Amino acid sequence: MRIRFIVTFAWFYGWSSLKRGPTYIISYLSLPLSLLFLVYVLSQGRLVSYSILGGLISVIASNSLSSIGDFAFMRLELRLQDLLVATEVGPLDYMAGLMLGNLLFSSPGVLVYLLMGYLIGLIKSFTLPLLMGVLLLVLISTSSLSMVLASRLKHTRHSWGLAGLLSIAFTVIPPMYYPYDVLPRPILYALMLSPPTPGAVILQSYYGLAPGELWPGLVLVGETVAFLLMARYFTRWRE
Amino acid sequence: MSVVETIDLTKVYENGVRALDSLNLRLEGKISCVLGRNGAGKTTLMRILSTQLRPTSGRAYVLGLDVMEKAEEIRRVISSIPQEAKPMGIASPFEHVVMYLTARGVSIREAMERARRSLKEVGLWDFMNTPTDELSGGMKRKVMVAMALSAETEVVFLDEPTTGLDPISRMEVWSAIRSINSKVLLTTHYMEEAEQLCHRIAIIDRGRLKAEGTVEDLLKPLQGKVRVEGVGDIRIGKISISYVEEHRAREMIGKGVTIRPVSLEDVFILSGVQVED
Repeated sequence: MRIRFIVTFAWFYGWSSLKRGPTYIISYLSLPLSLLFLVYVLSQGRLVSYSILGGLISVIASNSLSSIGDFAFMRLELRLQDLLVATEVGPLDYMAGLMLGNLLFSSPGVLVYLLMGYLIGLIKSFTLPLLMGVLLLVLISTSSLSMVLASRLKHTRHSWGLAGLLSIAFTVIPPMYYPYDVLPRPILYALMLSPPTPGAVILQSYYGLAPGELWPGLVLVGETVAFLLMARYFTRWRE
Repeated sequence: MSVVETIDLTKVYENGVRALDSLNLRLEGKISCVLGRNGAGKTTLMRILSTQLRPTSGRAYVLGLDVMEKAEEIRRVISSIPQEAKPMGIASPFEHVVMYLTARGVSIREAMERARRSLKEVGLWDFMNTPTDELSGGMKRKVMVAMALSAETEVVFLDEPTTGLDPISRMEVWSAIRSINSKVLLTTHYMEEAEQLCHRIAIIDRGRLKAEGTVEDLLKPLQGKVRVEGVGDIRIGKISISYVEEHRAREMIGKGVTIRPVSLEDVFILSGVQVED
């Protein structure tokens, strides 16, 4: 891994967006915050804890999935990928740079949710390592998936639609904003294909909001490794 | 050792387009040019040489290194700016160059130093920290050129580096290209650019080599001749062209023809390709 490049690329891509395009941050915050508000009103505050945990995962996952558009735009319109292919940088370095950049401009959203979780007494400092670990795995798995899909697209115009569709499928339908145990098991198992689902189940269990289960942890780790390997071997890098 | 060499290099895309057709080419010298119309295969050639694209068959070498077998080694000694490469609007020229140099393994401190130098050289000093979506098209192109030049690699590939630039900007880029120590291979549509800048020129059309040599070599067959527009068998659009001895051309004066001295453009025309613009 080319750490220096990854950090610089995150600065180039993430920091410049953060500095010059603050509307991005608001747009990535808008859906989870709207859903949080909706859940608060509908459940009369009862499901707010779920929404905070779900919102955290959602900000990370939707940001990573939106990078399908960025990957495709940089490859097909800006030819940035071609430029980097002709250097010593590999596809995983590039992905890591973009991922870190995405994390940079999703960090204000993460901080907002952490603060809300802290204020309602849900998130304690000793729970942060596991919370961050889960968010990191969701970030890696969804970014890897985004890169593979984006590298296969022939036209940029398909990328935004695909990103939006996956974002809904991965962050609204799964049990992000409601208890996972209300779902029939077969549906839960089907939703496990999207990494945010095991992430949400782990966090709901860990924070005592739903019955504890260990196997989603294995699913999330397995999916992260699988998507990472896919990114390494199935991304179209040198054409 | 040649800078680049291709042997029967062929590229057929998935849609059946044969972009390169058994191209045999050998270019040496500090600055070499590949001339050709749109669709001649220039960009495909550049992409294969800079290890972005795999050939269908044949061999290609950069500094004697095989593009298929030694791609990693080639990437260490080249920098390449694709034809349609554009800067990311939200980032500044300085951020672009620094990012690119760290991709090349340059330390951040050194990258910042080189970024300032190269941006000054291409005339972007005053816009170093301006988001590139606020720059003109020509300035955006210069950002890409600055990235390639700052890398200080042994070989630099520039695919149509001055397209869209005004004459002054073009001269600034030429000056920057001349000043670097790297060997440069560039593609261009502009005959003047090739004449001014390139030590060796290859003309390709429909994926095949039509002519190759120095400007003098290429102009030799036309020595003592001039171009006469208005009469002749060669037709470009609605213009008829012929090449005749100077004394014969003088006899044609006043007969509704235009007489011009020969240039690289005429080599281009005679090598079987038609000028586009």
